[in-house]
Amino acid sequence: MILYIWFVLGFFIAFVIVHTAVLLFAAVELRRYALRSNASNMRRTLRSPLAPLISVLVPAFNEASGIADTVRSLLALDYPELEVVVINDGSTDGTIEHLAEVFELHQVLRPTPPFLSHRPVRAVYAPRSQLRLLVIDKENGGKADSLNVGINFASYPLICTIDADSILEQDALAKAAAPFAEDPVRTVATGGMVRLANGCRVERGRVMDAHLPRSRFAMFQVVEYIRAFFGTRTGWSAMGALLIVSGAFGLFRRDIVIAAGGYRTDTVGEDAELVIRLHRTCLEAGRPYRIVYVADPVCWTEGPEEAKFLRRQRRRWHRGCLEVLIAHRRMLFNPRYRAVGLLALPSLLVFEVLGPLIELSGYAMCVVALLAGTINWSIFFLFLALALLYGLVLTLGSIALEDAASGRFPAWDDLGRVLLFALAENAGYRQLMHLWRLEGFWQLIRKGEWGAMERKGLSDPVPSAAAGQVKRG
Amino acid sequence: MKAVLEAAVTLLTVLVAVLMAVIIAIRISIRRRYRLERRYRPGAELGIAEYLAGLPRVPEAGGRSERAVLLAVALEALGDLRGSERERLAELIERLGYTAEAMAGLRARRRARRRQSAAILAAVAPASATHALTAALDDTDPIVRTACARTLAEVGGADAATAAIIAVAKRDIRAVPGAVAAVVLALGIAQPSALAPLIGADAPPEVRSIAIEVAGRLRLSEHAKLLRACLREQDEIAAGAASGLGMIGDVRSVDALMDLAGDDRRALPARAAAVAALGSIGAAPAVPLLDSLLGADWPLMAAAVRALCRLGDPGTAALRSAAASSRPEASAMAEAALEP
Repeated sequence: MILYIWFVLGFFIAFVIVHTAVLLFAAVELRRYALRSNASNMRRTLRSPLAPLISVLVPAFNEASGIADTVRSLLALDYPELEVVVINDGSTDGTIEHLAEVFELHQVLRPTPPFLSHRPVRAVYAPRSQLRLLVIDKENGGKADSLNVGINFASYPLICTIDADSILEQDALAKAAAPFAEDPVRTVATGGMVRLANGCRVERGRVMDAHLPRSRFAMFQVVEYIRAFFGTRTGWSAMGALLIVSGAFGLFRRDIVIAAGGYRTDTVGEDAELVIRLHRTCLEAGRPYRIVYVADPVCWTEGPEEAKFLRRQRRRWHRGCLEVLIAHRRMLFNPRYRAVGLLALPSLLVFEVLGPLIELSGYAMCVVALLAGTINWSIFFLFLALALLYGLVLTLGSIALEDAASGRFPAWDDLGRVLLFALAENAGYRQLMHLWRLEGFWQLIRKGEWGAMERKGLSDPVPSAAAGQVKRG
Repeated sequence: MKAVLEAAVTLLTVLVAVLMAVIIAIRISIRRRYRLERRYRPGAELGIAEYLAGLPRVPEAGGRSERAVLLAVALEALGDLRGSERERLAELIERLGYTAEAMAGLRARRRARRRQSAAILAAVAPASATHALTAALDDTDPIVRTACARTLAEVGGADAATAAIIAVAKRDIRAVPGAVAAVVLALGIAQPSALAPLIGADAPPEVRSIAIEVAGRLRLSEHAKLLRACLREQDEIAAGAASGLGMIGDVRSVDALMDLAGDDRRALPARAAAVAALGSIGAAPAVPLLDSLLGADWPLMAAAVRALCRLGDPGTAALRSAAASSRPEASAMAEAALEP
């Protein structure tokens, strides 16, 4: 028993070392970014003839309530040239009819390019106007399958993947595309910041007024997102080992994605899987490349507010992590894959996949050891305080980075709420998340449920049969 | 064990307190910035708008904060303006003494100040700054060097600018992503003829591929001959050159482009770029070749269909015959292309 407690202590020390290092890298990277970027540079990039052309891919499944607003806001983004490709993934709520009505779509002849395989395409629609919009109606096959269709049909060299209910800020695309304009040869993917739109006032596909959410579960997720995006992803990106470009908002070079084989349809972690495969493809080919996280382009998305949907999401994420690790197990601890194989993937395995198991078993073992008198109360409480304080350090460090980088939510009461939830997450929420994530193990064995989420919708809903329908989260 | 844990708890408590202090300090600074912006920005925007509209009143800024806000507003506007309005605003910035301050700032000890000064000069691009910019090419900071090289490309002499770019490319290509692209683009816009040495085979490869792209996108026909020479080189360079020639619309490159498009030893992207260029140029003699490519791999076939669409009657005839043919993919693509 005492040996196991020492093992948990060792795990904690490793956790502290790795996460502190990542946070420090993030601080250096954000400072470097802040020094380099300014508004006039961004405008210069936007107006430059080197600004890359972008196809924005929007997979949609039963999204009739908000899809028109999403498309409108995407077409109005501050970017010199982009096309929007909506992929209707066999919706049953009239998504395609709604789009056809709003944008005056008509069916066009468009042979299906053969680069990536996917479920059959039923029809392709284009507007009668000059809008750069293409709507593809296909048989249901999931998000990854829809994205593969979009990649095939995209006309431009860069693809931007977003969720149908995500909202991009006006300049998000320009900021996320800047690394491609600056370094067109090496940059293969960029990801931006994803924020929770729960609590924000959204009108016609735009965030008009940003506020922290009222729901407790959503607030806990705000704390997690701050840590994940400002602390973790920026740090790993600085080390050249970014493993996740969020499915809610990412930009990729289309030719490289096609060369890597597109999205895999047999995993629930298709976004992370693609990024790891891009690393693998480039490293195996000896090709110089960059996969970059850019901290200030913002995409707003809705997070689950109810326990049952959050539970499904976390189980699915965990299962996705496991599937990715299994698929790319050869890269683990393999020096050929540099920081990805030697640092990022082992960290994913130890802290994300095995972490919940080790932490929860550590709690149980500590209780048993206390009852058996193997450790005393003062040591127990000191260790508990250490864990709580370190969690707080990570959160505060990430908040400091966020403040320094973006300066959003500058209100004092917002800071108070975030800190309160950062402390409170240790008293039940964190453990609950670990439990739900462990269920992901079981799901992987069963390979059953995908994980659905009921979305309230961010915008004023269009009255339709879709209201309250269940979609894949 | 207990002592170690106690020490760690104390250390983390101190760290939490420090981080809290840092957050509070940052937030106070953000709020102060917001307050200053709210106070001075409307006046600055109005003043600049009135000045640009031709009113005789020159915007005034008294204190340091007010001057900083006025400069920020002016630089933002400068990014959006073109032509005489831009020149007028740049002249105003010079008149208010900002460029003189920036030139002096290039010699400052603090790196942040030098970077800020270089950014101001890069935005305004005053001809009077050539000497200060040339001197700053030896700065220890790559961001300062590249910003100055970019500005020199806009305002300096062609030879000095080209030499500066090659120096920047050699020294900073890894340190500042995008530096070379920004400098080469600025040079292409301000002094197109100065791009020639960067397109030639002697230029560093990274600079060369960007220079080729810039020459094409800016449609710099004086470099068509150099681009034609690039068609015989490695596939990536050839693809960029072919696209550039297509954008320029260089009729004299049709034969070379046809050679590239029909050469099955070359990579698909290079051949597809050549096919697209033939379409852009409107090369009617290429119709038989493009027709033969309708049975090729998808990227080549798609490019050939798009090119045929741009070639008028002979292209349409070829597409009609492909639509009626027994090749299913070519037939479907040609049908789609012929759709009104």
